[in-house]
Order: sequence, then structure tokens, then C-alpha cells
Amino acid sequence: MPLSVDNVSVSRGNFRLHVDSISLSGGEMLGIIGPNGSGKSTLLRVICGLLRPDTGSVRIDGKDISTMRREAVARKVSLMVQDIPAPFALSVDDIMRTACYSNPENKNTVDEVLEMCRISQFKYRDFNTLSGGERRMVMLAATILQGSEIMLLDEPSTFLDPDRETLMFRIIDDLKQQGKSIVAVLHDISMLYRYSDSVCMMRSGGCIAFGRKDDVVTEENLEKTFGIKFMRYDSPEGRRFAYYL
Amino acid sequence: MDETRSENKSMLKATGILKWLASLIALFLILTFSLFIGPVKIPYMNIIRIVEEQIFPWSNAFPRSGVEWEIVVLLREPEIIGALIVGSTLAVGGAVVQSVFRNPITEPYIIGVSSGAALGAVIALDLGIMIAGLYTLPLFAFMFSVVTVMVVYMSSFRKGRVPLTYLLLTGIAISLFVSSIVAYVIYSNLRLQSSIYFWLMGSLSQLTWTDITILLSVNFLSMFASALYWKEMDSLQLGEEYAASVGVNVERTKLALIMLVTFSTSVSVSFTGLIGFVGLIVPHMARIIFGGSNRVAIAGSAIIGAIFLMICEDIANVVISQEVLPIGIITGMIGAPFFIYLLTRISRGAYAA
Repeated sequence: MPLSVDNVSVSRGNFRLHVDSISLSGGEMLGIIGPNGSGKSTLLRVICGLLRPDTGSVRIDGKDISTMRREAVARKVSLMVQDIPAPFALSVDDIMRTACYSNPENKNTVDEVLEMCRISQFKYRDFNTLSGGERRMVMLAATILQGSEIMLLDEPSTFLDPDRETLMFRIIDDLKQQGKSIVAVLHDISMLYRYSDSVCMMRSGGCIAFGRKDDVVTEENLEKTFGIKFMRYDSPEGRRFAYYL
Repeated sequence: MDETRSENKSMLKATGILKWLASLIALFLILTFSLFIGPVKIPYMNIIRIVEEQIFPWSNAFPRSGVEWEIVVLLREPEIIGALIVGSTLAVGGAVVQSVFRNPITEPYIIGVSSGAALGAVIALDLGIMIAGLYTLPLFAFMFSVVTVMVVYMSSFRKGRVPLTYLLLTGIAISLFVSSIVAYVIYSNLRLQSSIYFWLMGSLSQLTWTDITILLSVNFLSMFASALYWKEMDSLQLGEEYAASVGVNVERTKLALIMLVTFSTSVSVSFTGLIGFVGLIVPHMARIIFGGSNRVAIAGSAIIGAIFLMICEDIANVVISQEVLPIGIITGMIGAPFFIYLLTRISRGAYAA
């Protein structure tokens, strides 16, 4: 297993995260879903070592990440955060350089990755002058450029127009084909169902359901997670979920 | 489309090289120009001959003694070289601190460098301590400055980390505390007031060649060392979380950079007094000219800082005839309006901070 999380708990003020067991194979995507403040982002930060768990362990290829150096962890896991501040005028190219910090040889693939994310035209533009959706694509490109086998995406599709959202999920599918493991926090349940292989549902700091998507993404589990009723319908384009207003 | 992009890139490269060339030429021109400016009038031909004699000692272009020789070689040259070194040190310190704090309105003085140095200087003068002869005051200023920053850093620790907001606020609080001790000592000792006043305003006119040697070796070394951290600083500019996720050891980098900046700026300040505004403003000029990445902003700040302080020094030398103003007055007078101009640029979204 490239990634396994065992018995991890973290306390931050009044909030406590506890996850018994989550694992992920190569070439698969784990979707995380849950209400705001349920600990999704905290879990991602524990997985990439930004937060040290009070108990339990996060293992990558069988190795506990708390025993690894920061650079070594960064070669294994990358994190796409929700937004990055840029107080000074950094160009997209400058940001790509920082993404290659732990893998300097990846600099040779900058143009290729920018092309893949369709942001080549912004290479020398100031990051601050880009729109929300364009910035997201830049951050996705940086995460890909880091070149790690596990990629954590924190709400990657927010701010994206339908065109770019489709592109982003197509890129994620390609990355899976290449054997990368993806962990993504998503709010769109239909998208989550469509692109994930396994799913983890979170509520108030705990994982209330984890498993293959067909076993986990059910109307009952969704109601338990969000506290509102959901309806499932199967259309020719795939299975969709909607909630009652 | 590929063609336009490569054109774009080569054009960017060309303008980049042009900017570096222009600023290096400006640096050299101002360095030369400054030799001819001072409170005492010396015939220009004599100045040229003195420099010729220094560069080609076998040429016998000028006798190595006399008032004019001493003014140029022992007063003007250390002053100009001093402005060059101190200007670049303060500017690089500012660029580094602004990157680390992700804050465009900080500078090294804010974490306690200036107030600590002032306390050291005041104590040395007040108690009449002479343990290191002429170097007592710089020594005291340096030690107190480093200790003050250490106190600020230590008291900002939270759970093994140093959150930047704590560090900044602790720095401001401790600086204010130390400054009020300085004010008390000056207030209670009238005799001190004239001697410390000059130091607090900042001045380069008393620098000797020995001072220059110390400044040059210490400052260029730590400037070079902090420039090596440009990748880490660029990552830190995008947030500590981002920096850590790409593999930067955030706490170690912050400690190393703050130590380097404290060391270099403290040495500068202890010799020259509190020259303000260079660390705050010059990095912004450099980033506007060369770009926001520290790959260019550190070296850019060094050059612009040197140019800026040499110009200020020239102005300080000529603004009142027969007299040299403390350079801190000039940097403030030029710096403050420029900073306000910068703030309007920030509010127009140039920085989007």
C-alpha cells in the first residue's frame, strides 16, 4: 500500500480528529467528503506531515513519515492547498521553481506541465493578476510538478468554470493512469462518485464510513454525514446524487 | 503560439540583462561622482591624480601626504565605500525579512536590531566604559542588538514553532520597551545628549579603513549566505504551509535567515548608528525593477541599496555648505515620501497583499 493511515488522532483546541484506518493503492483516488469543519483539511495536513499526529502513524510505502526528513516527505507527497498568498509579484514561472524544490530535475518538465494544465500563456505573468480559476490551475500545475507519487488536493475544483473543471478531472484521471495516488477533498458528490475509487466520509473529526465507493456512497451514509436527505438517480451519464431543498 | 512564447522569453531575458547592466553602470558612476563631492572643495584634477596614485602607486601622480590626500583617502573614500556596504547590507536585510515575514512593511529594525543597538550605545556612553578603546561603542551596540533579537525570538516560541505574527508583535513590543529605557538614560544624563544624538541619527562620516575592513568581510559574507537561501525565501513568500509541503524545513530556514540578517545589520548599525528607511524601501524598489523573486531581488536590493545610500550621502554632504548632515536625516526625508508613494501603489493592487 503506498499510503496507510492507522489510528491517527490530532487535537487542535476544542477540535479532535480521529481516524482508525484508511489506505490507498497506487493508481487510485480516495475521495473525502463531509460538512465544513469535519476535519477534511486537517486529515490532509496529517497525511503530508504538516501536522504531527498525537497518536498513530501515517505510512508511505510502509515507512512512517514522522521519521522522514521534510524533503524526503515532499518527494513522496504533495499538497495542493486551497489558496496561496503572494505578497510580492511572483510570476507563474517563479512559483514553478519553488515547486521543484525537492526535485530540481523536474524543472525540465515545467513547459510540459503548464501545457497540460493549459496555462502556458501565463508563464511570465504575475500570479496576483490571475483570476481565481487560473490561480487554481497554476497551483495544480505546481502540485504535479513536485512529482510525488501521492497527491493531496484540497477542494481542487473550487472557482473553476465547467470547462476547466472538466479539464482538471481529466488531468486527475491521466495521473491515475500513470500510477499516481490521489486524495481529494470534494464537495460535489456526483463528481466524487464518478472519479473516486474509494471514499471516506467524515463528520465532526471522525471517519464514519470508508471503503469502495459503491459500498460507501449511499443515501443512508450521506444522510448520516450531512444530516439532510439525499436522492440517488442513475442517468445514462452515470450515477448522480441530489439533496432535497 | 510556441514562437511568441520563445520570443517573449528571449525579450524578457534581454531586458533583464539590460537592467542589471544599467544598474551596475549607475553604481559605478555614482561611486565615482561621490568622490568629487564633499564639504571641502578640492580641485577635480587633484582628486583624479590622488586616485591614480592609489591605483598605480608607481606613477607618482600625487604626493602621499598633505590635507587634500588625507581628505580624499582617509575621509571621503571610507565614507563612500561605507555607504556602499551599509546600504546594500540594510537593503538585503530588509528584502530577507520581508520575504520571511511575507509582509511588505517590515524591516530588520522591527525585530529589535535598532533598539538593542541604541541601548548598547547609550550604556557604553553613559557609564563611560572603554574596555575596547574606540571599538567599545560598536561592540556594545552589536552585543545588545544581537541579545535583543535573541530575546524577541525566544519569547515568540509557541509549541516548538515561531509563528510569524507572534515574532513581529513581540519584536515591536520589546523594541518599544528597550527604546523607553534608552529614552530614560538619555533623559537622565544631559551630558549624553549631544554625543548620542549623532549616533541615533546615523552617520557614515567617522568610518575608518579598519571599520571598512570589518564591515566588508562580515557583511558580504552574511549577504552571500542569505542570498543562497533564495529558493527557500520564494517558497516562504507563498506561505509557511506551502513551503513545508514542497520540502523546505521552515523553522530551520527562518532561524538561519533571521540570524544572518541580525548579524549583518547589527554590525552595520553598530558602526554607523541608526540609518532608517533603507531596509524598508529599497527592497520594494528592487522588486519593482527586477521582479518579486529573491533570485533577482536579493542582488537587486544590494545594488539599489548601495546606490541609494551613496546618493543620500552626497546630499548630506552638500545640502548645508561646510557641514555634513547625519545621513539618517536624508534617508528619512527622501525615504518617507517615497514610501507613501509606494503605499499608494500597494493600494492600487500592485502588491495585492
